[in-house]
Amino acid sequence: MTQKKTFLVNIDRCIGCYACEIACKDENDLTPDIRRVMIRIVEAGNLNRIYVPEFSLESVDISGCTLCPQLQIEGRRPACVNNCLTNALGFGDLDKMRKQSEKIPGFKYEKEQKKGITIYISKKPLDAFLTHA
Amino acid sequence: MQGKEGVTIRRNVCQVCYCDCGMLTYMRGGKVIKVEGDPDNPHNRGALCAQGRSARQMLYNPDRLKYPLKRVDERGSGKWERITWDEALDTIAEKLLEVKGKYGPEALAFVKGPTRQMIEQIFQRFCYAYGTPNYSGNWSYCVGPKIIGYTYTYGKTPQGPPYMPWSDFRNSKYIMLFGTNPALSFIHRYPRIMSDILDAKEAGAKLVVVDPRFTETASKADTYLPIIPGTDAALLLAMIRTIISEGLYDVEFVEKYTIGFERLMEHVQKYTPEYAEEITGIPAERIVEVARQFATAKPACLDRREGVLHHTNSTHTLRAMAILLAITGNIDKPGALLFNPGVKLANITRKERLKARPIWAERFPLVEDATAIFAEAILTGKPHPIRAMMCTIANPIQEYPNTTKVREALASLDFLVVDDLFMTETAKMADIVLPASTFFEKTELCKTQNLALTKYFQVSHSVMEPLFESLPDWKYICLLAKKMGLNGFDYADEDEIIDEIIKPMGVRVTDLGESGVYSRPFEIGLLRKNGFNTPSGKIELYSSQLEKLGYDPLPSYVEPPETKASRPDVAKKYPFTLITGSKTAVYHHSQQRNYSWLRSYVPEPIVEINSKTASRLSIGEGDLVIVEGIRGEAKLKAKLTTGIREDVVSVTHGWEGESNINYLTDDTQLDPIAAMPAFRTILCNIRRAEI
Repeated sequence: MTQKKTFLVNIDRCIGCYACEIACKDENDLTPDIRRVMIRIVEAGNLNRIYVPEFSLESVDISGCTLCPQLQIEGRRPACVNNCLTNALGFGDLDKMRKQSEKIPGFKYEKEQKKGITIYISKKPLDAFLTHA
Repeated sequence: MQGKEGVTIRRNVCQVCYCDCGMLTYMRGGKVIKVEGDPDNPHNRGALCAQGRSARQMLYNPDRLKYPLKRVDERGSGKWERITWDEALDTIAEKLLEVKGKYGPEALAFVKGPTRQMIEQIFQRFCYAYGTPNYSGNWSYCVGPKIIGYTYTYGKTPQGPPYMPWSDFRNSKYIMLFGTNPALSFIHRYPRIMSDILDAKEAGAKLVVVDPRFTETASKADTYLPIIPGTDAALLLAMIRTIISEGLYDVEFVEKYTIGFERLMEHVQKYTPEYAEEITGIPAERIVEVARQFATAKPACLDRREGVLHHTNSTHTLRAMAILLAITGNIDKPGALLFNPGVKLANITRKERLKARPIWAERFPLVEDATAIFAEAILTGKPHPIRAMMCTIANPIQEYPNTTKVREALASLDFLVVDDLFMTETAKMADIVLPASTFFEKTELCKTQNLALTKYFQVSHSVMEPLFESLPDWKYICLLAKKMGLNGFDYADEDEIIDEIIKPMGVRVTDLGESGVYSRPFEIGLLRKNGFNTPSGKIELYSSQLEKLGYDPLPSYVEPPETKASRPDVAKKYPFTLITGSKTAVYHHSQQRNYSWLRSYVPEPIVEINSKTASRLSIGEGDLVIVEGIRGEAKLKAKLTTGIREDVVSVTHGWEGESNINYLTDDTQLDPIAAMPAFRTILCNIRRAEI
């Protein structure tokens, strides 16, 4: 049985460089306004800023993340993950990603139901979180 | 390589910026359909930055220049007529020979932007065959002070050219960064640099960021020190003093490998942490703390980029850095500063033909170029008249300091030819505009890749014929040279030129196969083993060489000419320090404003202002703001942030028209050794524009 796939996001390593966003547009030939992956910049107090990649998993139209099936067929990961300059993004089988997440210092997350998709969001401190596709 | 469904994958090198990342270009039916990072390339390891991944939007940009144009009506009128390459080359040849006859060959200035090994040599060969030494690029806006500061401390490579010493962040225990944001601007021309820094952090290294802006990189730091722009030398000298006076320096290394330690010790006595606090705005106890940490964490790295170079004290600052690394023993070992001799390439420029000296020779004897002085030279005719300019993939109006003066200078030329992809503001001033080709359409020799890894170069093969009537720059120069009767430009193709250049490495282009890659390991520790290539054979903390040239043998803090301390009179009207040149993730200097993917992230020119400052001046987010200084003003949208000093405002350079921040910068405030302009110590005022 094929396992459910999941994104793993390590916020400690995201630098807000947009390489994931442009890779998505180049791979999927998207116009500038379509952001299937989007880096949200969070000013978490004075001189405390984090960059949070978010995936539009719930949208069913063109604006929704497809997980790049054309690359997965070739045994590759979605374009955003392949193109992450700092390895802040991971993608793979749920169990494997969960194991990887355990190696990230301070990783804490909680589960959230959103339009039938399970999303894991970190508790404080906002170190990393897991998104379940 | 063959992909599925008629897709071919070609290996080439991304040449959007200077990183030279390995690229895989996916093609179908002769068209580029996407680009990816080459997973086999050791320095970008399968990824490309946002700009590189947008390269398709450069190649197929609707704004690209498609055929040669000649100016009709007056300069800058915007009226053009399409002409043939033949007519364009005839006109250029005739005008250049006319200028040479009237004023001598030095009257031609050749300015270029980011270029690579093959074309640089062809450009120089052309200039020297014509007879002009006034070939100028971005050396003095970029690496100049580092090359001078480090070379006069550590020496040159055995084969002659300077080292480009780079930090081995991945294996370091303590990483201290000055005026650089590697998250977006990739120091060491290495897009995986932040990944290496984060790896080091996860392995326990401490990251210290010294910057007036709270950058993407600063957001990952353990210690962030918001310094007053232009004062880094004071901080470094106080660190050196602390380390020496507390006996924390590497006694064995200093004794074995350096000379001049006693004189250094005496010289830095005045740089107390309290003195440095006054100058830098960083509390004395923090300075002492980082000095102690830096000296005791081994190995440690210290690196920098333009934030500490774009002012008049930059060579001193880089000398201080070189010395700080040396007295702590962080030289030529893993996790510290590495010395890669690089690949040995042939010089095919035929410089021996040249008789004349460049316009900067008298004033700046150590520099490779001094691009900022051209505007003044053109307007005054001193030290030699400059009457014609060839400008290739360079944009003086949007990039050089003091735009008003640069515009005036270009307007006064007898002849200006611009070779570019787009109709830039500089191209608009030209007599002839030529359509350049992108890196997809030409073959080039690239060797700027991260020298912390291997001795490396890569031949980037063209993946397609040039679009429209565009021509690769080497071809245009060779055709022009032949029209002018200059010898040595009979090349059939790029491979023939590159073979000549890479001959000393014992390989030919065809030996390197489809990848074009040449990569060999280099040995760490050779300098410590064989001695440093300086007159004394040691690291020269005290530089007798610089002393002989009339420069200070030891670095000092010299207050820049346009600060609150040096010009309190000016600061009354212009109380803020303007820093220009900070990078965004999506723009490389003046490029890419017309790539729709990238423009969407930074759609408008902005000025970063501290939220407290803005509220005091009743400036709101997105308000139109006038930034005004002694020489001019620019209009930008306010971006409020807590991540910048309250007394500093920051504007990214490279925008067109009235958002061009170089209307405020100065072409005459230069580092006296390296000719670096003061892009980051400019006094200004900000106010909300009346609507």
